[in-house]
Amino acid sequence: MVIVTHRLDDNTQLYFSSDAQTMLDTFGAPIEILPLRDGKVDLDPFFEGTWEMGDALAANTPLVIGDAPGLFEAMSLMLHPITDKLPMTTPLEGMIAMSVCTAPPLGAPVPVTTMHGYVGYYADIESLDAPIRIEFPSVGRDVLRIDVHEHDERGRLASYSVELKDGEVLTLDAPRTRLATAGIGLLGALGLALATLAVVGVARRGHPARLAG
Amino acid sequence: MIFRLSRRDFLASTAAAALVAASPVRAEDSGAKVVEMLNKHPEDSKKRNVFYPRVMSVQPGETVLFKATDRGHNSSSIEGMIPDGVEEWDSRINEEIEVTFETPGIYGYKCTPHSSIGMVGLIVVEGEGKLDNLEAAKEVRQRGRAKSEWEEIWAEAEEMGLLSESSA
Repeated sequence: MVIVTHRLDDNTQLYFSSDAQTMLDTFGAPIEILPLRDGKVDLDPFFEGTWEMGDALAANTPLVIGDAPGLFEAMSLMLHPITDKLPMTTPLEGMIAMSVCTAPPLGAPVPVTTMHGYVGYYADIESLDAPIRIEFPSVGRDVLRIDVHEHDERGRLASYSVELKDGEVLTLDAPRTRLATAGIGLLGALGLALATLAVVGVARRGHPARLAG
Repeated sequence: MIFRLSRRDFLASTAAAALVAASPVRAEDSGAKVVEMLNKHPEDSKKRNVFYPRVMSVQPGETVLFKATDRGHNSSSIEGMIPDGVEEWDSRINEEIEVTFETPGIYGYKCTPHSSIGMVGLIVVEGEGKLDNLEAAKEVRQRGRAKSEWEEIWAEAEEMGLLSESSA
């Protein structure tokens, strides 16, 4: 699974992509949240808007900013053939992938196992100082590898991978908090280095004196 | 009153032939204003799924063509964001539609599949009472990215001087 975050000064966006079956399983959503015909996914209704499907997908997966759940609303959800996956490492790519205008040509319903899913969520609140928690439910799945790409208005902040156990909450720390922590760590390391140099310097200056004494 | 003319429906319908006979010139050729429905903003490639321009002012009786330049879009008036008593419009996906605006007022519209992504637009029909439904339009609940998009649109309309009676 891939998650892209976009933290702006007045809103927060989250994008997810994975093969469609894994997406349904991980979010704890039944296939019935998608329009079905003969047990397969009917893409025709996707052209009438898909935010309701996106909301239904996350019904069992609280998306939380700070301590506040329920702030995210689905923007759009789209399926594309698994053989024709779209790039998904930036918010713009997430926006394009989940847009119905990039949908494959309509035709017969398709098995969900042949599709890759893309979905985006929007919260009308900034999260520059708040962690985002994605509380995937316990569904008895295997460990899930998630590639996370975090962005703010200046561009990419970080990319990393996590292994999420079944029922484990994914916490995406606030960029400022992480930067502050990194800064404190850096300052600490710098201070330690300076202290070490000072001790060494004192020792070197003192050593001849001791010899002379 | 809103007058609707769907070009595709018209071509497929002999009944509509009379309407074309009455209006044989394309709206854009006849000087009507055009709003393009685009996958990508022509001046900012980071903006996707847009009406262009997204804010427009027209005089009563003027026609606007919502042009399906890119595929996957439609134009649909937003419930609660048009003056009382005027006819709603709702084109099909990939369908162009011409709307003639007779009543002064605020007209908010959307692309049905992309409204939550922020594909929305505003037409202000000039004339007495054009701001009568402004507050009601602003109070309509928006979903997803449309919230911030509408904040930008109101600000843009304000900057253009469209939201003051003096411009009416």
